[in-house]
Amino acid sequence: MNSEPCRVIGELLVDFADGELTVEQRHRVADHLAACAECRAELRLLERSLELAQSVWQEAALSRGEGIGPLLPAFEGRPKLAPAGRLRPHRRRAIAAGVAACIVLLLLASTAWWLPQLRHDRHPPEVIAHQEVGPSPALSDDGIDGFISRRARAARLAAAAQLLASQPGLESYAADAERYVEKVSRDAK
Amino acid sequence: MRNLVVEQFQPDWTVVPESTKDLLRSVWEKVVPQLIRLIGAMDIGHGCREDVLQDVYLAAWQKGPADVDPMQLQRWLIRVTVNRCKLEYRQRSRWHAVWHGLAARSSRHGSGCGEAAADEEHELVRRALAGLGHEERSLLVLRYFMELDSAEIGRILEQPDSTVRGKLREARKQLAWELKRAGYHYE
Repeated sequence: MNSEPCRVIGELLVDFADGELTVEQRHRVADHLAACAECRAELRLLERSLELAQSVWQEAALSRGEGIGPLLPAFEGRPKLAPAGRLRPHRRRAIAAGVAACIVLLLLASTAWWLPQLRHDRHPPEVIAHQEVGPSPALSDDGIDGFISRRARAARLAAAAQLLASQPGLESYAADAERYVEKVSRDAK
Repeated sequence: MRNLVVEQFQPDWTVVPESTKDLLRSVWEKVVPQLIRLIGAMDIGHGCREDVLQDVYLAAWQKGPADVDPMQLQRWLIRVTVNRCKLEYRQRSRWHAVWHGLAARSSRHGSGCGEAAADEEHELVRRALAGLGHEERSLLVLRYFMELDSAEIGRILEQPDSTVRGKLREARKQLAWELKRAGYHYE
């Protein structure tokens, strides 16, 4: 369809196929078709495409038309439709179902994201680690007793140092006592 | 019907003149088989065909032309039906078409070789038709399926005969081109 005669004939092919050309035009097209295989193929495709389309329409009309007969007499007294262009109930239901599905998905996604966060807040990692490790193997009854008695001694010394600090003239002695208590506390840890 | 609206369609008989009422009834009965064929060929879904028909009927009562002869009323009904089908196309989503394509493909499984080849061919044509514009598609259906001539189509759609013929020519060429593009090879 590249040459000029082919383009001119190409414009007439549909009318030629439909039999809507004058006798003179018809002869002209027929003469060209006899000599041009490309235009013949074009004409055949035009005809074949129409045949196929007609068969599709026929099939659709038969399948779409069946069962509509008993409804023909009148539409009066039947439920009134929403005017054309507005959303019909089945479309509204489909949209509502879609929105509901989106909300459910959103809820599931946010729950999946929040659950680990909540767990993390309730059980800080160090606590979890401690629970997982259990009591320290270094602790024994003697060790616990020793720890408590050292802490008690340090507390008694601290109380004595406070008492001394409240007495006039004994401030320097009290300061020495406090340093000692601190040292003993550090050692006790 | 799957509508939840309980209001019933009752034309207001008191305001419709007796002559108009009779005319519409007689023309409707005569034209409705044609309209059903038209709606079917325009590929309107099974669930929507009654909606389209009822809309056309409703429109005829509410906005139908007054003081016209039966032929004019018949043309008016066909025009309203074509426009209503176009509206239906516009409301269809792309996903709807994809879904139908998938359903058609899955339903082909298990069919014989000959049937499968014919289905394949029809599927290509459906795709080619879907590639056309709403107007081209309705013109092709009116001319080559309803077998109305271009002058009658022009009267129905209120367009000059020459315009209709020009559009039909383009639509035929486009259909062939779309079919070729969809992968159809004619030996």
